Amino acid sequence: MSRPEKENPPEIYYNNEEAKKYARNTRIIKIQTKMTERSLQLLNIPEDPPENDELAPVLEKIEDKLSKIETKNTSENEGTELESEGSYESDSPFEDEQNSEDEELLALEQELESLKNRRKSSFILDLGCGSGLSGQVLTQNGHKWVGIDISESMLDIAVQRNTIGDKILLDMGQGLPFRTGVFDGAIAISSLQWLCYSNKKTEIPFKRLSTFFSSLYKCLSRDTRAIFQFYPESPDQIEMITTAATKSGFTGGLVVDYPESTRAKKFFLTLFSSTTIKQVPKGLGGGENLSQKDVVQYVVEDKYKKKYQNNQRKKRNWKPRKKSRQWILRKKERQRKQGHKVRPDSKFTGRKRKDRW
Amino acid sequence: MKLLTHNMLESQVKTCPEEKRFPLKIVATEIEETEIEFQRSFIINIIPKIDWGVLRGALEEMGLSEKYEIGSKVPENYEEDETFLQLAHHILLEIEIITGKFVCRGTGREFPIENKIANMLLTSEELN
Repeated sequence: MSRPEKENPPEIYYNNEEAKKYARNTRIIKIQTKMTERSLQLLNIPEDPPENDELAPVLEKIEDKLSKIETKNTSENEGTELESEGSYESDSPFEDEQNSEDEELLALEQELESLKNRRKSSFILDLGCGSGLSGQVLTQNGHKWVGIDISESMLDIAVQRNTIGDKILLDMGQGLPFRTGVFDGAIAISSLQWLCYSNKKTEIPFKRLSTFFSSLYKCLSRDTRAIFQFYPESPDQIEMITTAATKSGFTGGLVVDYPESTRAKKFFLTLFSSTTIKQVPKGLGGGENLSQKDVVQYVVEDKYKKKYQNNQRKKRNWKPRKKSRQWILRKKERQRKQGHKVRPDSKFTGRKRKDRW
Repeated sequence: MKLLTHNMLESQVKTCPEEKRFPLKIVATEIEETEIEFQRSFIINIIPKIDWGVLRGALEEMGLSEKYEIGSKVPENYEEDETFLQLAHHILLEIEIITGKFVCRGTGREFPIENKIANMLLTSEELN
């Protein structure tokens, strides 16, 4: 399967045409909605059980509806013989009324269910909100949100679709412009992988990831979560992401849903912004025997945290190797900023020279 | 762009001194008042996070401080004050800046707001 993040940066990939297609594709809408709902589940927002005086009116309406349907059924049975002949389709007004009553009953029962399962109405950050598909799920669940995205075309569509959350045009890799402890949670549907590639010569993905995660840690309240549904390319990429996250203070792990299925398999990076170690939730479709691959926990205990971080820093130097082309380009940029006269960059910069011996 | 979000935003420009990053100054050229469903529990929970002084300042900058008079402090037992909650809901969620800009008080850098979307993209110079 092709990886769009390898072709172009997201602000170019999601241009006007692509944005329009995205928001109209029913398959995409269905998948994004499902993934948002799963992410909401993983966010584990505290329950907000309804008071009796909130349940009472709905229960009353349901009882009313049930009795109406009962009386209709009994009166209908008396006149059945006249109705059953001839008409193949139910175009009798009697049946239409019956169907609408049933529909209303179903709606009332759904209302009761959502009241009982209600969660505390929270202020959530939607990272890479795009055309607002995920935001709408948040609104439907009673939450308020702020969405950020790097593609103007996608955000324009989100405004067009009258999504309620505020939208900000922003590059996550530059950090988030919010005060401390502002959000009750964060979700990112299919957006994290875009941070792992940078098309600008002077940017390093690991640095952008670190900047992003530290600013996210800052603007989340204590004891909240950030859920990232993403498509990892390789174990190395997963490690780069989790290292950047733990370096910024997060704990957590990777939840894998339906690990055995190629189509249904989904990855959710679940991060906790808390000082106590929390148990990473189980992935779906893992069956009774929870294998190691279902829950990969990246927990850095405080005691060993510093030692771990130091070792990681020594082991993996995310800076470009000395004398490599990347290193040369960065050095030239630095020199230019200092005001030195530097030759322009070209395809020959840092070219491989013929070996002397 | 609603006033709730403005109350949470600060400037990321590197050269801006720390104390001037929050709040951003509002210059609003087009404002709209919308209708959002009132959720008591949300308003009650979000009020402790709001910088009330900044909210008053924002209303002033938008020329709405006469229309919506709010005290300098959140009243005690605000959870029971229905009028206050309704007013807070209206100010935070139902006033929408369609066009305008946010201005960083420390550097003067402007962040345009167009079609309700705030553009806070920074150039690499402003970050490094």
